[in-house]
Amino acid sequence: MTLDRQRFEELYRVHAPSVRRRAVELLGSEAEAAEVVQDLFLSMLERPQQFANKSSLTTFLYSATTHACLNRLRNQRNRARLLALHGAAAHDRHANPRAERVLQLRALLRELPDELAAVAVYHYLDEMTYDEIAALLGCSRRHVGTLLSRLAQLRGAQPEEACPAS
Amino acid sequence: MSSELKRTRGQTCVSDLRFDRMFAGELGEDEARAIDAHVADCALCRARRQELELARAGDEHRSATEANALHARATRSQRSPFARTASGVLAVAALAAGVWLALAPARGPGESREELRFKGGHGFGFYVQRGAAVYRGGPGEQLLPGDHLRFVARPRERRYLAVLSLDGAQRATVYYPAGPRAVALVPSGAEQALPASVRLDDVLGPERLYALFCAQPLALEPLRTALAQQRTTFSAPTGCELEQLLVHKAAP
Repeated sequence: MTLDRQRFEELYRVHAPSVRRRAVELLGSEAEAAEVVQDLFLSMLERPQQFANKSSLTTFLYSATTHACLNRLRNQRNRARLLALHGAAAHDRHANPRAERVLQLRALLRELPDELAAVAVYHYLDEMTYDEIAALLGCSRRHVGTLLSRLAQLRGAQPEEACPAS
Repeated sequence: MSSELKRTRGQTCVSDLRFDRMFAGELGEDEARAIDAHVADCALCRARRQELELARAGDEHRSATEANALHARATRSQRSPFARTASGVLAVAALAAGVWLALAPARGPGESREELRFKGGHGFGFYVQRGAAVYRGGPGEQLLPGDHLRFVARPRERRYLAVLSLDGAQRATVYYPAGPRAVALVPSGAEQALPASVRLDDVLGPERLYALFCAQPLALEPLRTALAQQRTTFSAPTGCELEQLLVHKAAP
């Protein structure tokens, strides 16, 4: 499988905006987000077989973006730089409730193991349903509920809601 | 750790993933309709969809350039990253969004037009950027190759908008949006500039601009094909209202 220029341009036009939007929110940096977009789409060009059998490229890219951003957040060299950016972004956080939530989420992500960090992103940033998170993580809805309960415990908060019935 | 972190939308709401899948054309018509029905009744999802659509539209202007540059890098091509820009017709300009509209005078340079009117009920119109000058265009506007057009609209109600063109060579092009489907526009009581602009190519002659305001997020390629086939007899599909402007492109 290869991606010709026209097909790649179409994929980029449709999918790059959501990859970039989520990366900017997770990393708090346009420049870092641009690198994530570039890395993911170059990878798509170089190894198109990785998404050849995916029913939803959007879902595939959500997962890939999340992991790429979490890796960057954990990267020791990036951490100080991103923390400085978060501090600068705090000035306007009261003007935008979502910005406030994203700032809190970024702080949280640095302290979580991989699976909990990913579930936090999907639950708080993307506001996915339990079913959607379960499909992305390849686990059961019940396990998603367990992860969110553990997350709430770590945060010292009450779970927002029990695992809802199907 | 902070305990203030909370989500705003509930489990029955539409997630960002679902919205993005809809924008990417990955959902069936039934699911897209179900989302529309939910959004109509849910202020939180309505606001979020509008945020996502605006962000997406604001990002689309750079897609063609970036995609071409990446493709060239991956294939080690020596060709220009601009070599394949949609038949050379639609060069989506990387203009600083909104800046040149904010500087636009009410009338065109050297023109005596007392009032530049909009045609139709949804207030479809455009601004022209020529060099450093920015002015409002109108029906019959004389344009030059290289001019940038920025479209504006004042929808009466929520509608999915697409802007298409039939140029002097009878070639049909989608000018807005860059994605596969028409993009929602929500009435704000004010004129809204679409978050992208187009650079006119060097095909001279009359050019017809078609703005479709639709109740559903129609796929754009069938519309472009219909325009290419029907040309000046092109009519609005069911559920859409069509507004047209005729402009003229001449050599400098």
